[in-house]
Amino acid sequence: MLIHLVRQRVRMAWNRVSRGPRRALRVVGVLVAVLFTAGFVILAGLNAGGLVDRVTRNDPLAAGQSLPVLLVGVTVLTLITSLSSAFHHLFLAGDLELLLAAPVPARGLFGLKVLEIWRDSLHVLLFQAAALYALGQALHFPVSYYARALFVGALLTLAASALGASLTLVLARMRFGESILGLSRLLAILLLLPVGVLGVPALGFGRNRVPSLLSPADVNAVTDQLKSIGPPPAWAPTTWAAHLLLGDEAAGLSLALLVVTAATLFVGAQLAFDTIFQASWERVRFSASSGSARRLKWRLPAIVADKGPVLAIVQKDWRTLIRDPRWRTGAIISLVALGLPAMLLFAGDPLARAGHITRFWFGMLPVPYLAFLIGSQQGAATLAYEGRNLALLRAAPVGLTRILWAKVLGGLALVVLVTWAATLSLGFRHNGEPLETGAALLAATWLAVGATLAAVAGAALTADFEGDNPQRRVGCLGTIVTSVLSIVFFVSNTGLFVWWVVRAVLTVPRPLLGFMPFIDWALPAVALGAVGAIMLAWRIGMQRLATWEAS
Amino acid sequence: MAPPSPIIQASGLTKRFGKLTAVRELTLEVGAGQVFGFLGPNGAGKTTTIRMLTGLVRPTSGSALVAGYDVTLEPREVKRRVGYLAETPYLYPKLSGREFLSFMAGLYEVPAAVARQRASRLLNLFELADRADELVETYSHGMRQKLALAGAMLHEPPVLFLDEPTSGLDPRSARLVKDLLVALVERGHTVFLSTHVLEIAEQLCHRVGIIDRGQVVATGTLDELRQQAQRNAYSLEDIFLQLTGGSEERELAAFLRER
Repeated sequence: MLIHLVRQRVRMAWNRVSRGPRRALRVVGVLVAVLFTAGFVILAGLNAGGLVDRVTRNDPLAAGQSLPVLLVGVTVLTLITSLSSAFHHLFLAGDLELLLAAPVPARGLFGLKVLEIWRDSLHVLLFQAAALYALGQALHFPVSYYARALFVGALLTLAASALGASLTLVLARMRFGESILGLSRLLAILLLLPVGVLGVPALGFGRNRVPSLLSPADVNAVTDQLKSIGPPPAWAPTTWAAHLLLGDEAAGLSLALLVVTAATLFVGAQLAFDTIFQASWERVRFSASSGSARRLKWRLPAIVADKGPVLAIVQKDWRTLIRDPRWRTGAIISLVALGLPAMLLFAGDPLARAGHITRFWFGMLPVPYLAFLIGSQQGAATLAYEGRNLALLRAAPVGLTRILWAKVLGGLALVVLVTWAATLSLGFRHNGEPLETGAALLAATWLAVGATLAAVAGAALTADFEGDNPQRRVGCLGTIVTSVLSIVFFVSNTGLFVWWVVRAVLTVPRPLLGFMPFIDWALPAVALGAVGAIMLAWRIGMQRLATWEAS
Repeated sequence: MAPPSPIIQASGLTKRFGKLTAVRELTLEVGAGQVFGFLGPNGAGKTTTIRMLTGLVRPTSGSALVAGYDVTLEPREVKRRVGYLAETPYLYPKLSGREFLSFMAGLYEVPAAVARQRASRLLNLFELADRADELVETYSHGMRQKLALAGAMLHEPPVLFLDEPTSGLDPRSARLVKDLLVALVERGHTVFLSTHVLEIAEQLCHRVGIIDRGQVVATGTLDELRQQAQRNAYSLEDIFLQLTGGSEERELAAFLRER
């Protein structure tokens, strides 16, 4: 049965790419998404291996320590990532009722769910594969190591996914289970940050770039840290996996222990599924949502029907978004995991020794970053969460332009709130004059509007409104399009603003003096081009929405 | 003539979701080879009852036997013997109609050769053969409903649970479904039919059950229901409105007066 279910999933994935209208465009989109995502993660993994290469030159013993550390990291990351995706697959998947109504054996259904959860950790798996490959190269392991690495990598991550599924089943029965799962998503993002740090520079410069960015002192620090960890605990499955990979004298026993532990874990997880799933599913599917909606009912003022459709859509969006735990955790994750570190970094006043103007304006750098970050997320969410109900909006006597503006306004509320709060707090921290702070607020508003517009336009271009999971409706290609539009706007407009500040109140750096006329002309042109690109995307997106029909 | 032996037996079936009791102490019997109409206002507990009887949701208390198997103790055996058409059936948009039926055949362990034959027959019967190899996302609402019904019938279950089977169908397709149900019953199948279309219940059902606020308020043949209701109840609509308090009718009348 499991094979039948997996075959059907593969068939759907294949049909998604190969059938239906605009096939060529979809193929290109998938290729770009695969190259971008896989390339990013694989290069990050290669960089991690490259780092080990440099540690090896320092201290081969410390480099040997890196293998169990890597395996622990990847296993924990898979477990936490699986906690966040298991909830959707186990309880909210659209076809769950159809599968449950059929005599599908619990083992088949559980196997399918574990594989789906495992598939969602694909980025972790790719990172792991690349890192293990690079590590093998750095430590000059024999060819048999790579076959063992494949087996160990799959086994550890599959077992972590099964464990994640079991924990999710238990948490779903608990009162604060959903909050804990939200927290796990936050943790997953935080843990992925190091992967991003290793991957981002790799995009442009290729392998070994990050290690070469690290100074010898940094490499020494990593070496010391690895040495200070000491020998890994003998009871940890990741230690057995490391023995197996190294092919040392404990490899045989480690293989046996690893297989027995994984088998026990799978059997335990299957038993947990058999015992708990039905009750957890009924609780999530039929009980929890009505309760939370009732609790929220009295907190919000009534929708103002006589203020026009735009306001009604904005109000509706806010109600539906804040009542959706997936949106809530997503927004909190962005703010806490990605926004807060930038704020804390600049709240520390890193430019304290500079003059007032430099200190004030450059101390404001988290503001455009926050505008970009929250804007691209919120703008895309307001449109993507509409899903098939877009047909309902289009059936009303409201033009598409007004619908899209309502989406921009809906997304903008949080973006403006966050960027203004950041501007005011940083302005206060850097002793800004009222006029300066006012100008900064204006600039922040402009950047917030631009980022949100870019996100709505990007979502209009690519969102799959029929998708089950609203968080995935924009998809890889949509995220890339939205990010490119937002980044070009963010970089060009922030750059222009910085240039104006430098020109007006600071001294232009000597190397740039010769290029001043060119920069004076080129920067506004690029900034204007970015706005034009967003407008173009907006227009094409509107055309797409105008012809979109719910199936 | 002796009444047919019951193929569905529910006794004291209750389902609670937290504080809400969706179905309370439901007791009913459906004879083999009959069409049983299950009627009730919106939110009365029809779908929850069907979900319990198909083994999809476990009752909080009470018991039920379907095709001789206990829905709580042997839900898989029950599922093998029933076909279930949900009120809003889920179909995979990225599968073609034929691929969907093959998938359903796999779920119900129908041998491939038999499944191919039955799928072709059902696709022809529901006039979907021409579009069978197109993706479901290109189908109209009615075509999807017909495909979902074909999926529920593919393994030729002795008992069919149909939740609003004619919803979204044009008159021609609705007639086709009605004729099909008659044909199925003639071949010995049992149909448990939840519907709002009282005309269908009146025409097709051997027996009818009416549920209101989670409780069965009446069961029986149309004549028996007439006796249970007031004397001036002639049609099933009259009986239904009387037994369920006619709240919807009163609300509608009040709404129209306000206009």
